[in-house]
Amino acid sequence: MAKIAPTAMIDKSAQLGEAVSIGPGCVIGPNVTLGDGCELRANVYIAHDTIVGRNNLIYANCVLGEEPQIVGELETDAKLIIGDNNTFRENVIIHAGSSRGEGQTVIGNNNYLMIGSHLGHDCEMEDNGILGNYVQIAGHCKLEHNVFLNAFTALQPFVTVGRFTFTAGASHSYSDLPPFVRASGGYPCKVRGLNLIGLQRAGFSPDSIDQLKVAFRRLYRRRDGKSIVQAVADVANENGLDEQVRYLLEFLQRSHQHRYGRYRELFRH
Amino acid sequence: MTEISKLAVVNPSAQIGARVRIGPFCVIGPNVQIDDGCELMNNVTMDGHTRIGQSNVFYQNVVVGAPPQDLKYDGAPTETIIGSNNVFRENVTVHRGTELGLGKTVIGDHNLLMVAAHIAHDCILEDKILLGNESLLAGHVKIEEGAVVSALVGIHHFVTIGKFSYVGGLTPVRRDVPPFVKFDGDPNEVRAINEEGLKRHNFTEKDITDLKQAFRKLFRTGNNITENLRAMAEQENLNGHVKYLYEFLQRSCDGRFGRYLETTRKDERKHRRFRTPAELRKKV
Repeated sequence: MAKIAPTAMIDKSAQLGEAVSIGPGCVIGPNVTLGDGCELRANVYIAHDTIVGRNNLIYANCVLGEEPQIVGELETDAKLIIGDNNTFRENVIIHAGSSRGEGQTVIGNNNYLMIGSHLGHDCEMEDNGILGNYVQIAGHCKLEHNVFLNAFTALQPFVTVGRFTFTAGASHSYSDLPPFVRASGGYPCKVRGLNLIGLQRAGFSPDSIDQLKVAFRRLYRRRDGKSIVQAVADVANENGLDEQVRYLLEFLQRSHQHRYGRYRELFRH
Repeated sequence: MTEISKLAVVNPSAQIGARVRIGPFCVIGPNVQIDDGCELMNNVTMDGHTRIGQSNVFYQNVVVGAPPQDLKYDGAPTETIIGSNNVFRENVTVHRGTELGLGKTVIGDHNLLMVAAHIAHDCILEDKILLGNESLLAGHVKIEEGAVVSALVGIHHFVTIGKFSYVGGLTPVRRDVPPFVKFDGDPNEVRAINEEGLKRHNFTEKDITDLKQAFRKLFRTGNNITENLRAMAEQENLNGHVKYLYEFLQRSCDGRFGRYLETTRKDERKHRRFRTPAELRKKV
């Protein structure tokens, strides 16, 4: 049984799943699909062409799927796609995609977006991520799964954050952040070490963590004066590397293709 | 005469005092108590076990008493307590306490919380505090009376901000801010005595000079702070305010990472087991 407050305004073309709960003052625009078990607290605004999966919990005053903040002409068929079991706290603002990018903003499953966080147009967020308060993610960014971005973290457009990466509060990064690391600082945001606690919590084997430690030391604690590009090539030439280390190396190789270390910027159009 | 808009949803078991004005699209939960003379503009949401004192003003989209953003919280009936004559500007969010903390979030009297400020679980705000736009308090933070926190300041959990201090804009505060000083920058630093703020709060010339001298001894001698504190401990007849500053610094130096309240932390390591957001959702 759907529970809909009398003061909510829902467009006729919106499709609501089973056991949806919509609080007072919510506004749901045209072509919105809400999956089963979604709960919208008060005054949530879902603009248009948005697909919301199952069991999402959306707190007061969120704005989802509104048009992107782009100067210039826009095509209007862009959309926002949200997976299952996500939590959006108060004042979260997520914009739909645009014709400048993939045309859609995508959010995976089991993410927790704290107060006031913002995902710009054409962003892609995978699963199990946590965004702290007022985290500002610009357009075209990609957040891989299990990222943990603390309060006030801000990213430039086209930045990719690798899986299991942790940023401290008030970090501002203009280049890709590799997977499995801790990063902090304003300009420049620096990689400080491996995110050991995050990796342990995620159940990485001690062997795998040790291999990552060795690789990390060789990449970021270089004493031989070589560049990191060279260090990546050296480590990659070895045999019998752990799967996670291999991923770290691939990620870095991709990032290094771009002048400022933003791999996704290569696909800009 | 209490005025409640027809478009507001007020639970019948909520206690609303006299001369309260509630605008359209406000949502008031069952265990909320609002005292006389409060004004709620439109779209204000109040939830949980919340007590609100007299003559507070809530602007648009304020949320009070929502569950904390704490992965350990599992739905305990904790409280939010707000004093009187506070102003909450647009998009301010105040969360209820947690069981492992104080069990309540407390805000005193005559505070001004500017646009989109955030007060997390178990925070204590005393009186006459000013919080700038988009300033974030993490959990368990204490702000003493008369402090001014500028815009876009992020405050780490378990930090104490001393009374009549001033925190500059865009500062990530990671350790206790001593009372009576200006604190700013990243990496942040105690800059000087907050002379202007002290004058505004009617401190005497003598008090300010004493504090300035103490400040020079503590922060400008080149020795480290613990040595300077030891030297100050031997002095007699300290000014009351200087004594307060001295005791505050002593406490902070004892705390882990310069955060005194971290020593009062009740949760043990086993409580800090990380639950995924999905697990969290099942409980609440």
